Amino acid sequence: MNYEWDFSILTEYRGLMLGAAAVTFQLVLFSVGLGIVVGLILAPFRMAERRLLRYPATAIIEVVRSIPPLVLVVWCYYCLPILTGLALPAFWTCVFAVALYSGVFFAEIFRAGVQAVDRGLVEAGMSVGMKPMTVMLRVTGPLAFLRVLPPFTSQCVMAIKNSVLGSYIAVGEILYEGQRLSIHTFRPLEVLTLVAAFFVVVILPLTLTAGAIERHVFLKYFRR
Amino acid sequence: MNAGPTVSADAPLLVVENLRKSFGAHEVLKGVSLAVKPSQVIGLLGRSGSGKSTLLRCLNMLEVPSAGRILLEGEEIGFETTAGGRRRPLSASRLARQRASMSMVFQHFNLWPHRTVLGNVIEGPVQVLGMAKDEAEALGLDLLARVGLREKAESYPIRLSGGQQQRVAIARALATRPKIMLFDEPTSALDPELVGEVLQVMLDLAKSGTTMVVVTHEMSFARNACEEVVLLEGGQIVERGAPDYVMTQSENPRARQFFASQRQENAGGPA
Ligand SMILES: Nc1ncnc2c1ncn2[C@@H]1O[C@H](COP(=O)(O)OP(=O)(O)O)[C@@H](O)[C@H]1O
Ligand SMILES: [Mg+2]
Repeated sequence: MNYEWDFSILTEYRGLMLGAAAVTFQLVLFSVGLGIVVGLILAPFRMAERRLLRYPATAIIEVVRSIPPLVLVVWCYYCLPILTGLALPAFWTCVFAVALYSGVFFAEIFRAGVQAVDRGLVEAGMSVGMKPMTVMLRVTGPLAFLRVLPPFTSQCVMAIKNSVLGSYIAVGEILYEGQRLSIHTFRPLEVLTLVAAFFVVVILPLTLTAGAIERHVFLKYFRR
Repeated sequence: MNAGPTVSADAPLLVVENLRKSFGAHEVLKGVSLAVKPSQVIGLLGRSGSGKSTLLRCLNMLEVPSAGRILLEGEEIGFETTAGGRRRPLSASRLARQRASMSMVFQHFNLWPHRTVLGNVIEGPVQVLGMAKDEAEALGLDLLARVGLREKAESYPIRLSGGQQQRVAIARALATRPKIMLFDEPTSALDPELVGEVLQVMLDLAKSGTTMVVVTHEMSFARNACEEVVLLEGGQIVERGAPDYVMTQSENPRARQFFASQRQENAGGPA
């Protein structure tokens, strides 16, 4: 292979790419944040004893989970406005679609965490006189979160990566601008390698930190 | 301090009236009645599966009884009677309040692994009673000193032996200043050499006038600490009275058989 790498175009167009990276960061921030909120809202309903609360949540989770995320984004962009008469900008459509998609997975992760908490620890809370909400905030919640830290991290990573789906509906995030730039400059290798490297640089510290926290927590609280 | 009904000195603190509990079609408690006076220590004895834990867990509504009533200082636990005379379950927050006055010590300690020893002890005072944190910590350290574990205040439960964990659990249960303490086989999960230190703490509590209901297989504890023991079999009380009477003099064939098998187990050495 005799390709001559020329990274100078990246410095030339760095303003464009930095702007695109900023859009990606905003996408990630809103969609992951909102996704966690969606998960926190859906999980209690999914676990509710009353079917009237549990069934709708279960239905939402099962339906959304079986739609490919790209289909969800594109559907929200083209079909939702027709059905509801409500047209959101592409950016927010992408945020909501990705948030909903990750949210149902967050909900399942949180549910699994709560159900894995030793019943005896919950009863200990009840028997010192904690109200159900206090038990949730002081006992079940923190312990469930410590338990689900690994799947929670993976799901965050997944949600971050799903931000590139915005490129299909012309959100000016990093993949969209990268593709346009590579066509414009005939330099797909440099530009798209940069796009890939961008995600490695963003995600790797995150997973490494989460791994370190996980080991620390395990050694401190759970290992003899 | 307490705005509940006033009760005369030797009136029972806790009254259990004809308590029944079924799990599906399986009736586990078949009408149990008890009265516990202030400062009294009652031992609940019986074979595995006889309903001891279920009875204890009904007392603080970890299990909701199918029938019967529980009264603490004359106030019904878990239910209220409306002005119209209808009986209905208490709200979650009022039930929680009642539970704070009847702490429980579990077979498997159930300390919260993500909080320090002191953190476990002050959780009730701070979160439930609304005590200021430094006041709760002073109280917590006092209670830890009482169970001989003041120097472990900053450790996490996982670093403690089973016996130490159970003593912390006792300190935690004391921290909300309960009117009565419920113990469910507090030494059954312990290695034999750790049983003594926990029983000693419980004995001290008993001597200092703490009202206690204790499910136990420790016959020596039942004999030395309990004013009354109750023998449960198949969800019913089959014998009750002073420990010496119930354990050695009772003519009741089921009592004789139970205590004979207990003596045999003890004579047979460690399991
Ligand atoms: N949550 C439950 N669901 C169904 N059956 C139960 C439950 N808890 C206890 N039981 C049954 O009730 C009986 C008494 O149990 P338990 O009170 O734990 O006895 P003990 O503490 O004397 O060993 C047992 O037959 C047990 O299987
Ligand atoms: Mg039991």
